[in-house]
Amino acid sequence: MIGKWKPIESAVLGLLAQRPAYGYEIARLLRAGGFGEVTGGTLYPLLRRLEDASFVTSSWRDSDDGPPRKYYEVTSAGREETARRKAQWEHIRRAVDDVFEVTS
Amino acid sequence: MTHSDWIDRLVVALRHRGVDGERVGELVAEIEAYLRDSGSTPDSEFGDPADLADQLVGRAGPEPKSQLRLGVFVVASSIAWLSIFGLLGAGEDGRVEVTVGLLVAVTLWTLGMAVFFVWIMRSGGRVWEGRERPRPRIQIGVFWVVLVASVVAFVVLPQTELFDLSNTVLWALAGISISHVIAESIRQARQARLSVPPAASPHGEGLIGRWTGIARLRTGWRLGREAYRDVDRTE
Repeated sequence: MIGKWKPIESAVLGLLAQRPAYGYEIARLLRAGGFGEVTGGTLYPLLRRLEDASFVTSSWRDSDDGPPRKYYEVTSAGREETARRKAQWEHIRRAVDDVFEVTS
Repeated sequence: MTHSDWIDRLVVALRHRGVDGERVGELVAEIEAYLRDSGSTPDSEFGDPADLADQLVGRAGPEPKSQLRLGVFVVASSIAWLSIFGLLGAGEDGRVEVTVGLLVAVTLWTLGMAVFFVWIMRSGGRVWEGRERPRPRIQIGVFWVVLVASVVAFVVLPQTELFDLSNTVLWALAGISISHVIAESIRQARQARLSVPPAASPHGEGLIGRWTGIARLRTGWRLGREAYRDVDRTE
């Protein structure tokens, strides 16, 4: 189960479940959230996978600060997937906490 | 690598993988928007264009469907030429005698050329991306092997007549194959044309009308020439 856990992908889904965002904005939010330097080369293939899986959709929109940008937002299937991954994360965290408690 | 050189390489890499012009235009516009926001260079932000194309398309190498299409295109072109030659060389009664030798030679030639061109297309893409060393001598050698094998088959195999092809059948074959060649050429030209969604046009201004099919050939030619020049230097 832990092997299939994809932290950055799950974080992107979680961010987009809160509100739609464009590529660079997602990278900035991930950096601010402590995920380190996430480059466009990591982010775009990931967004493509989420889009292919119908977890997110995208559309070009006018932006308040500058030229139009492509915004990503989660679909209803994406919301279900986000909830599933959240539950999965809770399970992983509990399992790791238990191991650390035994060893400490 | 300059910004525009990087974008050129990404466009060619995506087209090699069978991504149509509309999709390529949108991807490039999106990447341009990201780079404008981040202020970084394409190299540092997205890495190697061919690797990015692999990850975006989800596989390496050209789409199997586009290889099949190319194979069918080459077979149709060969049938078109052979039908025209058949019509020109038909006897006074307007019929062409098909012998064992002719049938085997024609089949060898059309299938051999189809496989040869698919191979050239696949390896050409890898050479342009610097993933494979160009092997022009081997490719020319393979072409000659197919040609000589076809001629030998025609000369050596028995000239026993199998069946006659009438003028009508030849015209029908020529008509069908030429129609396919024209339709496929138009389809390819349309697909190769890059377009950017109107909403994204500020990021793709330079793209519109710039990278049409001809421009793609120009970029491909330039990248290919660079790759072959490097081989000449190392040999």
